[in-house]
Amino acid sequence: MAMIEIQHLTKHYGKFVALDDLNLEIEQGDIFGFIGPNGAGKTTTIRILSTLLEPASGQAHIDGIDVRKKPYEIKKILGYMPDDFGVYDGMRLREYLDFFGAAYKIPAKKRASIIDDVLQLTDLTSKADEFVSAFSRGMKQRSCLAKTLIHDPKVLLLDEPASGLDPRARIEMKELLKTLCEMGKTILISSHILSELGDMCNTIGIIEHGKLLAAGKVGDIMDKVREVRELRIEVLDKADETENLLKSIDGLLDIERNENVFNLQSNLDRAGIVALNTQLVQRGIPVLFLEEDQGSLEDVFLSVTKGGF
Amino acid sequence: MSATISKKDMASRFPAWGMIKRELLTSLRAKRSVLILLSFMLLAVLVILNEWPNSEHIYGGIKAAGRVSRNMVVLLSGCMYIGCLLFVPAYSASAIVLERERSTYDLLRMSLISPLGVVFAKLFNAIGVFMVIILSMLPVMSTAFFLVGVEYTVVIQVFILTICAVLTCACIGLACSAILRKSITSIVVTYLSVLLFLIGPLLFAYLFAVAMATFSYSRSLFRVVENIGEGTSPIWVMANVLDRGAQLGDFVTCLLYHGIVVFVCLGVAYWKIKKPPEPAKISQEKPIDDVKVLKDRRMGFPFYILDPLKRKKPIEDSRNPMMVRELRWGLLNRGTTLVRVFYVAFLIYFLAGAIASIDGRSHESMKNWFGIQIVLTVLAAPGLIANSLTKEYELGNLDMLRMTLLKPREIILGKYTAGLGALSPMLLAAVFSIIPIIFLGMFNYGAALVGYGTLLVCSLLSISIGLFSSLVTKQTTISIMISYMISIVLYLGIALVLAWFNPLWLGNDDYAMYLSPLLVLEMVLYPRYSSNILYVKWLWAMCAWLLVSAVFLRVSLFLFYRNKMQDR
Repeated sequence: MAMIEIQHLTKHYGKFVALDDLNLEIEQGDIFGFIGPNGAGKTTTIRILSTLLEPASGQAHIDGIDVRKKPYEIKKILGYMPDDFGVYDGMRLREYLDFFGAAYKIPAKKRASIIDDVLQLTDLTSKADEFVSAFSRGMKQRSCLAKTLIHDPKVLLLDEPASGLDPRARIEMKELLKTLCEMGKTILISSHILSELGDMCNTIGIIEHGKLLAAGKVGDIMDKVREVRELRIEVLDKADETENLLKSIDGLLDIERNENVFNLQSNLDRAGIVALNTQLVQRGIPVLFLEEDQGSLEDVFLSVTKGGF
Repeated sequence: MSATISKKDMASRFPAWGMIKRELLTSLRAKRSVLILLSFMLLAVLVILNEWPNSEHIYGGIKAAGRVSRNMVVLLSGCMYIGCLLFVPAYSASAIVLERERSTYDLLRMSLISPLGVVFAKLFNAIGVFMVIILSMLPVMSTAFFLVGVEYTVVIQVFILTICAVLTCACIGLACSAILRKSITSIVVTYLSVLLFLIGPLLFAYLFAVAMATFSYSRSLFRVVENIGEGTSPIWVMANVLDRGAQLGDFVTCLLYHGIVVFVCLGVAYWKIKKPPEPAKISQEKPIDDVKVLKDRRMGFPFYILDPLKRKKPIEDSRNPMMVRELRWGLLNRGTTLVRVFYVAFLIYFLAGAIASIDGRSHESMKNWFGIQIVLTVLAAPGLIANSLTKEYELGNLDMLRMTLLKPREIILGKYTAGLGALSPMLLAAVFSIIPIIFLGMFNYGAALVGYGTLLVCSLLSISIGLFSSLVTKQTTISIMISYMISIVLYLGIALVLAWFNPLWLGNDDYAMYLSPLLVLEMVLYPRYSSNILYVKWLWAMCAWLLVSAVFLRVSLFLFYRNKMQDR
């Protein structure tokens, strides 16, 4: 059973349709990247899942619990980090975490050790006695993540957690999320920084104008999305023979030769690429390598979404 | 070549012009402006309809008609003047500080608009709506000229004084807004400064009178100071204008006083905007765990009743975390400010007690004294409480709070306790400042019970109103305005309107006073009529107002639970 399950979710803001019959499933232990242009409906989805917003229609379940019917139960297993959050003036980090710990009904006896663990996990131990309001943006993000983890939630909803962070802080955040995933948490993360999501997430969903355009494993989506594959072949010898062979194969659209290196545009599927490799080897052509240009999440995003407001 | 300056030229020659235009358009287009204008007009029309002469007045002859027209002008002018004084500070006090909070202040400073341009643009924004209101009141008030008895000079003086008051209050708000870092602080300080501006000269004259009475009494000097005080105080001059027409000397002195305040405030605002802003300093001193060090500090600084560096205890399991946060961090971190508030309130109440006691009648003295305390508490409450939840929203903490396992009831009660805590210095000052009343032999147990009881009920009611207001809007400024409007209606409006119309079911217009938690004091502590029956009636009235307070609290809870405040 999926950890997060969304069925026919719809939400309107006046005449504006924020979510239009959204269906989505995220398995336990996944790091799911939620991608979409501004105003696509990412934050609305996250806020509905986090019980902060009522949908117009449709259902959403987390760990089998209906978010509309049992919000209190949902809050127990959910950690939500909003994209825009504030901190309390005059509170030190340990006090800030203690307050949220108490707000999540963690007994005072256990709270101190949990706070220590969370501080260690987010690498904030040295800042425990400093005022949160004086922290830099990156520190505040980490403090908020620490607050989100305080009640050991099964599911994390992170809305743009890396926005405004410097490169080092982003890398650290990425490592931290990987650690959390290894701890068995299911993470839904929305971000505009696609290159990082590509490294971090095992599944993604692309949303635009409130509709889910594609969802699944990154490789599968790329396969679905791309009509033309770019292949690169380098041979040690017999370049002319290779060129003739390639020209005779159906499905290769464009062949560009640079001495022993061939850049190909093809519409071959995965099986077709395997067959091509077999033919080259059977002809006795010494193939140095044959690789497919994987492309990037940006390419997928651009080809799936239409853009415009 | 055309002699007139085109709009494009205007914008390029005076970069501030674009901002002035934008600010004016923004303020005039806002829904709240339309609402305020409509409310003023509705009130004015009600006054005219109620006061317009009927057959009894016609039989009363020209004198009765004259009385009616004067009543109309007095009521309309009073509503216009007091209304403007209540709303202008809320508009202007957040003008610049809000730019800082929204991080648009630096963009503004980086533009070609001069600091003076910014000051004037914000000034136009703050006064624009009120100028429209004042102008639209002109034809309404002119209906009094259909009757006899009103001189046009009185109407002109009223309008000049109101315009000047609006301008001055806006400038005070701008200065506070430029100096202070937080909108809520700016709003509170602005209201206090406006109060000081209005009654400052009078207060000075009375304090001088007290000093004179205590030491050597010089009648001529006292007369001079009294004249200056009364001639300068805007409230006093306005009252004189409406009563019998102010003397030209007093009128000019009062305008001069307005002018000086405007000049100083604009100067301060200009200087603060021109000066590069300093980043907020936060001391990162570590908390002290060592008991010995803490004890030494306490011995060295006896005023460290609560050492700011002493490590705070974790929140206990049995306690409401929201309540603990609000009290332990929200309130005690502002310990110094609270102590200052206590000192100022104590001083004001002490002096008020001393002045009220001059009268020599115990009931009357205590009534006046408690009246001042209640009015000040009711005036301060919206500024301290109406930001309870709007602040959380503006800071971006509300979503995180709602996502915790805290129940709405715990959040609302936490905020309510914080409100009570914020008012506690004023309430404590009220308790301690009874000393002069006791020493002067004016103490009366019954009156003290009624006074303190009324003060407590009014405080609880004001906190509920503030909390309710902070849940019906997302902006602190608007929340404060709503809070003041509800307070006016509950503390004065219903009772005065019913006393005016005196419907048959009410029987006696005295009963209308019980419909105000403030005016009920006037009935119960009226020297000649104080009796046990009145005390019982007062008790019933207080119970009813406590119920109203509970209803506001319940509705606040409902709104928190139901409304879509979380939609950003």
